Amino acid sequence: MLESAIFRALADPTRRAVFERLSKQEMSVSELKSGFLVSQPAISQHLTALKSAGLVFERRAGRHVYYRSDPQGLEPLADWVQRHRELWPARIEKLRRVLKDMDP
Amino acid sequence: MKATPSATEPVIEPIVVECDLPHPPAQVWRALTEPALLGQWLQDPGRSPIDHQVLEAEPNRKLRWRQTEDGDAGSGWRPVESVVTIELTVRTDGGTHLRLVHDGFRIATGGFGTQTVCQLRRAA
Repeated sequence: MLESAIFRALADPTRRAVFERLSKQEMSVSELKSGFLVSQPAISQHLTALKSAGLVFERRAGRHVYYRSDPQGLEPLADWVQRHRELWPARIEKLRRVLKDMDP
Repeated sequence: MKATPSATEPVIEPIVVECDLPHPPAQVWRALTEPALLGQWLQDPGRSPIDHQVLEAEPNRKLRWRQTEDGDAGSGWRPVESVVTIELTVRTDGGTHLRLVHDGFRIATGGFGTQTVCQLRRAA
């Protein structure tokens, strides 16, 4: 069973902690690292996964890069997803009609 | 201020759809991959065309694509990306069992991709 990218991104406890820390305040990788025991490359890897899932955003200012997360960003998508849950049955019905009408 | 999501539960459940179709996998495959056919059922009336990029294709068996489509107020009107994975298995009666998983939901960060393979048009 496939899991959503967001679920995968938050499955690791350190990654969740990174996400939560960045929801309080924007910070650079080194500032972030100071709150954790894991190495800086590990923090960077977590940031990459969180960015891929759209949970963390990056801001560049000259040579500096700052990260922040938006925990409220997750809820709005839940509504969008719920609407899509309801769209699929109609799509499948249309697929059935397309299959019936097409040349085999 | 809203609490951050619980650490132990999935934040957004994938959408899973399963159905049996009275047509062989090769025919279902065409309806999933030929743009003119795909547009007739995937496209919803009244919505903008879905931008669709195939990620993986095993003919008559498995298809995965990333789609980018209109967001809504919740996404700040930014497009939403998601991934659809479809697996086809042949039934003993020659029909097809289709399993579809729709997940990977996220707000598109960079706008529409530059590697789009095909753009669906609203069915005429």
